[in-house]
Amino acid sequence: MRRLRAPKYLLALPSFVWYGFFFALPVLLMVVNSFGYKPAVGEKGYVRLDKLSFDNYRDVWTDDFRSVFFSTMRIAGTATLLCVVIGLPVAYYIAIKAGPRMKGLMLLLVIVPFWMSFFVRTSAWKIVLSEFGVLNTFLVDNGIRNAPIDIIGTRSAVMLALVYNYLPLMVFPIFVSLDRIEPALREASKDLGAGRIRTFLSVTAPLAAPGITAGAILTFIPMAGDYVTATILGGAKGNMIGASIYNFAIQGQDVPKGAAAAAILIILILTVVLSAGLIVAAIRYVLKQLRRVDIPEST
Amino acid sequence: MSTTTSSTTSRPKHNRQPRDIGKWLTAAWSWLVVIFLMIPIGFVVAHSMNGGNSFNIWKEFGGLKWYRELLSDLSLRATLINSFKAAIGSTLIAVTIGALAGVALVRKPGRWTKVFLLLLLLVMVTPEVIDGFSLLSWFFDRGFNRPFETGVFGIRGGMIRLWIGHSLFSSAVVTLIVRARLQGLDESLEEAAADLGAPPARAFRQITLPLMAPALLAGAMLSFSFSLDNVIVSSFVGQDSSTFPLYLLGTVKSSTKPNVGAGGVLLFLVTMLFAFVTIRVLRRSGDSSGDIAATIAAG
Amino acid sequence: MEDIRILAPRQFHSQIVSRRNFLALGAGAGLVLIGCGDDKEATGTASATGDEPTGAASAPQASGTVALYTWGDYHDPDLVAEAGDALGITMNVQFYASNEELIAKLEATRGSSGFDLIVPTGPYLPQLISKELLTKLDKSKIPNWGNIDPAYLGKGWDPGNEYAVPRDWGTTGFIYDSSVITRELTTWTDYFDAAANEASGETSALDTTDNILGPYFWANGISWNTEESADLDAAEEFLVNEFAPHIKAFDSYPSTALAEGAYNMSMAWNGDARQAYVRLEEAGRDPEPWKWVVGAPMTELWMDHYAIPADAKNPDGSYAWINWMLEPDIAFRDLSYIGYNMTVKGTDKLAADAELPRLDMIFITDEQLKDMEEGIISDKTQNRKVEIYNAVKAAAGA
Repeated sequence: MRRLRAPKYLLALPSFVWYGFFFALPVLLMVVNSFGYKPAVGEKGYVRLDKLSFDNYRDVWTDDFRSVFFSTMRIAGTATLLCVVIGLPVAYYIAIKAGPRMKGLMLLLVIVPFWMSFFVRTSAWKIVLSEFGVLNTFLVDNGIRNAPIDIIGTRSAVMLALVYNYLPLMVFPIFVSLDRIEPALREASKDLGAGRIRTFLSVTAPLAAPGITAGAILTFIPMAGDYVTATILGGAKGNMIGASIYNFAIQGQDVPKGAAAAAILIILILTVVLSAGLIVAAIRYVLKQLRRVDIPEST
Repeated sequence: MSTTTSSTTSRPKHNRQPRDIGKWLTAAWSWLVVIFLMIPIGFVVAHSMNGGNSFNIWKEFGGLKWYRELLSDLSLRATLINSFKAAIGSTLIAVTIGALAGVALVRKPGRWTKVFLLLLLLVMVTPEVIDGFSLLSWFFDRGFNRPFETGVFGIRGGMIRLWIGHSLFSSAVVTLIVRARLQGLDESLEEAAADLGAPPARAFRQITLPLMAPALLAGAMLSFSFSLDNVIVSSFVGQDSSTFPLYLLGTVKSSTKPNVGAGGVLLFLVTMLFAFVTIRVLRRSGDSSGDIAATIAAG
Repeated sequence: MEDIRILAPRQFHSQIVSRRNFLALGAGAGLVLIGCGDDKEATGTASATGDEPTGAASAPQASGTVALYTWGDYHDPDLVAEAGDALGITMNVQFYASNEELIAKLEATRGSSGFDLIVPTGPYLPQLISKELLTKLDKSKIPNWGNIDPAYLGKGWDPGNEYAVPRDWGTTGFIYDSSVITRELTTWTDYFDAAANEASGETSALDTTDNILGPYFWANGISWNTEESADLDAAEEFLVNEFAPHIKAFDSYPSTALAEGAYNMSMAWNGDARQAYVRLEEAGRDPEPWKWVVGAPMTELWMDHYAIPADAKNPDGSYAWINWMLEPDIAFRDLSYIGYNMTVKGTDKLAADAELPRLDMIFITDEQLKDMEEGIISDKTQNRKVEIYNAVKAAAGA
């Protein structure tokens, strides 16, 4: 009886309090600050709230802001896609094709690099790829190429840094969703006469979908806000939208403007994620309809 | 693996084992990806023993001199210790509140669940730069936040702020992992325990806790690695408790010395130790490696 | 009381986690903490066994940890390590990347930044002072004050040197590979021209608002402290369209990347440019073709200062460090490491006697000094400059 009187959310209360006090309220304060203005150089404090306006939003919402936002979305989107393309076969092998011992070993090998501090492991690529690095020295010394390939500071370097750092976060969720598929289901599909490719498309792929979705969220969102990783190898090409917030707030010493940029960014990212979710849901619905027609044919 | 593959290749081609091509292809691809992930780690280890003064530029073999230097460099050593303190503290917080919320979501669903899941989505979707930036204003803007500024019980304010900042995303991940784990398990066990007269606390400890142990430990490992690699939130709130990634952010921009590699390797080894203790405990509690990985990666 | 365990399905039997298992995990975590020890304890023992200070007899007594918040790789690490024996203090060094970041951190933390000593650049001192973020200096705790060359005292940003101790000074220019850019470059106009031609996509620029804007103004005979909006508009127009597309990276310390072959031309501060020669040799490359150019017709003169934050927990430790750094032989060792002109009298002679390589990159002649200007932080232009900075970065990343 004692338990009945407690509210159902009792156990979630610590989380509610934690997110309320250290997430919701701070973000709310930030939004309030975004309507204020910055005091003159040398005055104490970093925000004045006696006059509230939308000026910061107007000042932040420039062509540059939009173009950096879209290029960030393009970079994070491409990198997420690359993670799927590269990670899906790996997850497929580990979950379905590998034997039990190999499964454990491969999972370990995928996650172990993750434990090396990301700055160190990412900048170590420079040892390999810089103009006078290991790879170019090898290629030039052995006459394979006449001139070194300069990769550092290009778009490819941006992709390399991002894919390298986020790939395990894609492999694992896909692995989990594939690992849950009963082997019997795939066997049944084959017994029913479906070919390998057909089994993959109609049984394996749809069941991997939730894993891909989870992986996409785990990689895309952090990438969209990450403004450090891409610059380590990508230099000026790794300019991401998160840096704009930092530049307004810290370089420009204008906290209200940084807050306005942050508020806009939350709204934009939510929009992107929700529309991606809607598109995925729509595709699933269509696929379901198609498959329903499919099954009687194959039997 | 080598024995099975050699036996399959020696089989006549007309044998009904055509799917081994798929296994071969995905296995080869997976090993390529593992090599890709491992390359920089190898170079980090090698260059941590560089005799020259630059991490990136190899000069000659210098033995363990940078490791010795690491131990005498108090600033760098302090950042390594701070990194561990931050990781352990934020992991404990994330696992505690995440586990409770995960249990509540599965066992006590109600109207509150929707609100909570929405909050969880917002926490996960918000880029780190916004967490860090809004917490910076929040911690220092309000008089009642004094403990977070100067610290309490001999713990520095910066360390407390790191625990809080790092725990936001991690605790959301732990919540979802615990939820995913418990969703597949039967609640009747706990009810039966209650029927037998076991007090709720005891039923929880002897039935529910063991059932979700793999999820807790998996969540702990993820939180731990997220915290160790965190640089953006730390750079906003970690003022008096600089972590190893913050140290790197400062030096990567100037000349990176091989002691950075040595620090990375040490941190790597201790994390490995932590992970292997975790895996051993999981093994002893009877999970297969696949299940362990599944819970580590569940999203 | 083990009875209720049998309720669990068979496969979970072995999985019931005993307290011991959890303890094992906790102990593992604990070991990590204990094994690493605590920096505070280390400090305690260091100060307890610390030898007599080797500095001037009147050197102030100090102990504990001094948290030094400074620029990347800006202090001889040997001196940092020796501070324990020489002064009885332990230095805890942390880095910032710009003066703005330094001020933002001090400002936001309102009296609990945890830093004991900072190294801001001159033009940023007035706002640090008026925001009451600095401690007024007690010069009786700096017996070596007299060692400072008076030429560096009494500057406009802190006329009575009440808050800041000048440490070193330097300038901005660029370094280029003459085997790739074969013509001779001498001015900022040449820098922009080479960036658009021979060094396109192989050029780096300093990563601060003022250092991206400054060279454009100097190349066009305008002061970098201009407040004319037409000047700023023209700067944006040029930098975004003519300069940004050719930038490979915004890099405030390009020496290492340059040695790895990342750039053919880099805007740099003189000390870091000098480091590039060392790095090039380490990388086994010939440093000979690399040419250093002091910005012309005008360029920057910057001066960094030691200052003590208002909330410093160990100001005596900071004074001890500052005082020690004003000893000529110590200042000379610091100079040999960072390659910047120190403000302590006699270090130039020590450097010449020791025949340090590339002295001309450390010391600035009076002739050169005439064409250098100090920066001013202005309310009117600060926001606009950040907008331009963002725009240049956006264009370079596109």
